[in-house]
Amino acid sequence: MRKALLVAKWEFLTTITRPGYIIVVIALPVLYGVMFALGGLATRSATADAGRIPTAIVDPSHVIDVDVAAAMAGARERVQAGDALATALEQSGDSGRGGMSAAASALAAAAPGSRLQPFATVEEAVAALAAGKVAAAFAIDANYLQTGKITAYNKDSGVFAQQGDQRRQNQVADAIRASLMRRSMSGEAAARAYAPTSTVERLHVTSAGVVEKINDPYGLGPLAGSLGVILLFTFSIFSASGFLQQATLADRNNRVIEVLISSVDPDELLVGKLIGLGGAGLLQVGIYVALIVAPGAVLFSIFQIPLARLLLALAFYVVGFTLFASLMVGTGMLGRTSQEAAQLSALWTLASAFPFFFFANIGAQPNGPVARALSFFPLTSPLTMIMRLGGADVPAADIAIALAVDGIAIVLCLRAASRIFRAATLMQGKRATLPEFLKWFRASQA
Amino acid sequence: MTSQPPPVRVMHVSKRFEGTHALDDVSLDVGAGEVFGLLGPNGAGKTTLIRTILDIMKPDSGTVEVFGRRFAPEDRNRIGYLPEERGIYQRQTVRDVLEYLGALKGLSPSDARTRAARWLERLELSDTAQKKVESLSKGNQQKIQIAATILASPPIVILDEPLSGLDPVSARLANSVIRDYAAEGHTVILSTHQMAQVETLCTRVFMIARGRRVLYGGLREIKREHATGAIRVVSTARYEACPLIASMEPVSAGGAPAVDVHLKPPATPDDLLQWLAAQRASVERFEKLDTPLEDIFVRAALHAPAEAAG
Repeated sequence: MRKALLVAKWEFLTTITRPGYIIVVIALPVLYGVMFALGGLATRSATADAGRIPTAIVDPSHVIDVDVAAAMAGARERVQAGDALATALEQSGDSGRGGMSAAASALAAAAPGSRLQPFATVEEAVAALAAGKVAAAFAIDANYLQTGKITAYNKDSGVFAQQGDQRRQNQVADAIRASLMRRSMSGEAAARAYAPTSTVERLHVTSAGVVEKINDPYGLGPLAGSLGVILLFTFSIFSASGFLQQATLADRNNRVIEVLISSVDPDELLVGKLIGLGGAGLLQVGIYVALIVAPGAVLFSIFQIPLARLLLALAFYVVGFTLFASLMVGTGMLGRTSQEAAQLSALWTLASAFPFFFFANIGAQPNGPVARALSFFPLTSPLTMIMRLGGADVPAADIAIALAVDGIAIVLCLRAASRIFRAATLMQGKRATLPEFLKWFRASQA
Repeated sequence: MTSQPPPVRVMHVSKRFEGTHALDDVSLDVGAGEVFGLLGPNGAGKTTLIRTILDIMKPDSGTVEVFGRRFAPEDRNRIGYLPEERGIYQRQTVRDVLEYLGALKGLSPSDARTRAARWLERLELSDTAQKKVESLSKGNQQKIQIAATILASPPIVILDEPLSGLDPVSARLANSVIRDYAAEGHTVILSTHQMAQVETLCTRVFMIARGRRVLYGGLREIKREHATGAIRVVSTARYEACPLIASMEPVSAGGAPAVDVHLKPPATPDDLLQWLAAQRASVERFEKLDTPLEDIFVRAALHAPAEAAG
């Protein structure tokens, strides 16, 4: 074991000082962070620009009270800060039309959506739309209360225009609803009717029946946390396995491997490499968390996952890494170049990605039949279990079975990888054709 | 009094690959303190034999003993190996690589560091310790690998073509390192095609061809056995009249006209010398020719028995 640890230390240090590792682990997240930040700023700027352009309404039926609509939309955005909706409505009730206008103006200033701008005729509204003074025009039917008919005029079309169209249509719908409620309901009742689920406290019930508070005011929920954990662990599993494959291939191409194998038992060498490169993978996760995830809500959700479950997810990370690393080393050693090795190993990458196709199903039913079936198949088990643990309390029996299945698979895969490793060593300097490989594979048995 | 078992003993070892005999009933002993030559044409089975000694590969039959017993895991620390298909970590410093490979042979970090410094000095590479291996010439990388092989002072070292890539000056230095290492009581198995190196260093040799032993024993004895008995003569005599000569071949020796003479048995070189004296011939040169090992190697390789079908 001492030699395995020596190999582990060497592999860890040589890997984390490789330019490729440094680029992947530090430079790429920073680059992506900058790109996301710039993208976010650009989107925010574009949204703000769009928000400044009003939406035209032509309302011969006089259904919409523009001031009330603006006041309630603004209040809904601020509802977390207090009962602003009722206040806005009370002020409008106490002060009459003038008082309402003052409150509405204050609230509307805080509202992120664009204003509604009344026009007397459809022709004027369409002309303003054509001139770019309004983003869209909505003509309310003169008998709207009887017919419910609205005609929408838009200048943009296509997939990318749909979101803006829908937002403006919702804005008009909100305005009509607020105005109609204002006529017949009191402030508080109107506020509740306008936004009935704007203040919901979410609690979690464990499998033991204990009710816990969820510190998730933004509604990301356990699934988002689960997704973050899965993405981090999955990425790390494959990049660490890739490091192992590259390192082993490099030893072979450097022709160091026969020197190593004359000093260290091949099994010890393989274990040392697994430990060292698994450590490099975990370091990668740590750096990603520190660099990009820590400031974000995903980390918030990771912390929301109970520690025991997070540790179990970590255990399945180790299991997953060991399993895929041994598979990738085994198949990778058959290739002469890293490109060939990657092509040969693609089979495992595809198989392991299988649980992602069932992400929605596993998220909805973490202990359902699909999730359980995928948990008990070695290639899909580690990632499925990480997904399940991110989203729910998983029965202990499922965890035990999955660990047992994975453990058996790891033993078998490590044995196979070790033999392939030996065979590839014996093939040193020879072309890795299948017949040549099989010849050395048989020779390595004894 | 019991005699010490040889550090390496191979007994009736056979190994087949896909119907080909890589080793066919091979037996040999290698003693302590000797440089033992392992010779053979390409594909003869030398690498397979080395791998069975190192326990990288198991024989189909027969046994290999190191230090008087079957190979044990701890023997990996006691056998140094410089393979023919070799390389070295490129991006690390010379010192780091040597310390790592020394540690894998069981040395403590401080011991590995001290020994690495000593060997680098011996190989005239002290100034390279902090340099990355990739910045060194191929020849210097080769010397680093030789140092890595003997860094931990293993009692047995197996060197496969240790001089490949070395210039004559470095080759001479490497030869002296090998000779001194054996002189300290270590066992050196030297696999090479460079017959000059074998003649310089080895006391005994084993030649393998098509998986079988074709030559085995002391170098001197083998050369004596394979001597042609030819005598190179430069003189004024008329050889056609000599009754002792079976055949002769005119050659040029340093510009002078010479003949290589083969005598009829039981005639001896002394008989020929007496005949020349009796002829009152002026003798400028009279030399009993030694058979080059290369000739013995080529002859033995060409006449090696074909492999048994199978």
